[in-house]
Amino acid sequence: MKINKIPYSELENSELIHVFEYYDFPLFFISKSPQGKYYLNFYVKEMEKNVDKWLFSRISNKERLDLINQRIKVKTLLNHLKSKQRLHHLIIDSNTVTTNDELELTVVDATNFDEKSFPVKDLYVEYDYVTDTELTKVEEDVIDSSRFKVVLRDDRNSHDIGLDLFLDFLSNLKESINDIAYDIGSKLIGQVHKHEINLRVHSLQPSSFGIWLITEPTEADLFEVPEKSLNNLFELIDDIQRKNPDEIEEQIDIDEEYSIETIKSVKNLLKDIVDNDFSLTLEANTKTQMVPKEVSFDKTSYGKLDILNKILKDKSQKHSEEVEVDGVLTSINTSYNKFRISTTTMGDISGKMSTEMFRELKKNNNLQFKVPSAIKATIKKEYINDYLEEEHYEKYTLLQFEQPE
Amino acid sequence: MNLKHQADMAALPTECPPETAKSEDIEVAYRFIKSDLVTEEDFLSHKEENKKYPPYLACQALAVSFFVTEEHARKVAENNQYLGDKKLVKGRITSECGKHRTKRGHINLWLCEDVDMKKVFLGE
Repeated sequence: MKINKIPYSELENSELIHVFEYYDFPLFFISKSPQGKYYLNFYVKEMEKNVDKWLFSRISNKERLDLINQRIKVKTLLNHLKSKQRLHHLIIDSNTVTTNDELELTVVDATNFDEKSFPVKDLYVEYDYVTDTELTKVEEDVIDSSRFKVVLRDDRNSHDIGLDLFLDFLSNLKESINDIAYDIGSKLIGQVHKHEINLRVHSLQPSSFGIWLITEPTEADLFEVPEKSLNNLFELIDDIQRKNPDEIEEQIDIDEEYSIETIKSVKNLLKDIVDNDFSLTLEANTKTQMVPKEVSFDKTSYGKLDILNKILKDKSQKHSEEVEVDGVLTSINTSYNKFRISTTTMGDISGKMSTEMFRELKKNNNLQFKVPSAIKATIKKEYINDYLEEEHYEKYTLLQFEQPE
Repeated sequence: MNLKHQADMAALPTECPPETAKSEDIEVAYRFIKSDLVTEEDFLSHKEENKKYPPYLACQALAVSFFVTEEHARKVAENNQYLGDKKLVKGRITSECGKHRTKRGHINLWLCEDVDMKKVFLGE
């Protein structure tokens, strides 16, 4: 059973921004912490006198909006949070709790889940007692991906563009849309979106170097993945202008709206614009109401690229551990400092001797290797996953070894 | 009309009960009770139950909830185990009970100090 903690003061200082059910006290509400985090609170029961049990989960702003705009039902959301191990039991003992306490959050899983703690029916929230508002369905009008326009401008507003930059840009645009489609497929239908989204140049608008593009396949997609992908690209570029890194990270970590791959490809798309002193504008209409949508990334927003760089840096990982291996030393190169060991547990591993070992080898010839021969070795294993520099590798360093006489 | 916790109400930054709260008869109201029989304990507010609440909900924490219709009460109970496990009782509220405000079928009642709510609610 996984347990996290939350300071009681964070709950005390949170503001109730939506109350959906009320009886003597708010039974179902969303609170917002002073740090701007949203929490879903759903009352379960009184366990004993003044000891109350709640369902509790941090949610993203998008999930909050989906709930109040009746795009997701309450039980569906609770089940989603539970399946993602984001739903917790929170027990508040009003008899003893003080401001300085940290409260335990126990992840709701198969071992502690009580079906009765969820609503019987799956319904939309209908009323907000904070804003005294009847809540109604607000449909999301996604962007019509069948035809959209890209405008690329340099400083002098020339009506031409270097071919390399143009091709790079289109390639990065296609990659970004497909990475977003992958994210949407994984989230919406639980599987990878099968059809690659292709772009076709429909026509050029020479006066502003505008390019009308169309997406393929042209036939309607049941889950509107191409439309939603383009929609999310528009939103992400707009978010970069307006949101802080925490809010965008929320969409990666909590919503799972964007993957790190998407952030990387959009960063590459925008970096080309920055490096070449260009501006980018995307224009399209919404699918149902034909409302024009436009997002831009220009000189004034170049600094915002740092937001994506910061996210990529934050998400990068470097980890090292020492492992003991048993295997066969199959190759050693004492001139170029290379080794290869064949193991049953880790397969073939190859790398370099540690600096100390290599120096020792060069200084005096006491260090003897037998090849091929059994070996017991201590290896330093390093994982480097650097999203910013795009370096992803495992590195092995031989620290110590023993071989039979 | 002397309401319960008058001193606490006076100390609040906003008017409590709110200006729109009225003292009027409500012929039919529904309340969930803790056991099979109605007792005075069934009309304790959140504050009287010694439960925690944020300071800006202090006024609501002094009120007791009722529903205007059985249908609404049952619907809320269906969505919440806490109420689903309780018994729903039909009763009435009179102008002597205190001041109340109704919002979308939910009544918040700030009780009078000397009212025997059990007696009034059950019409005894």
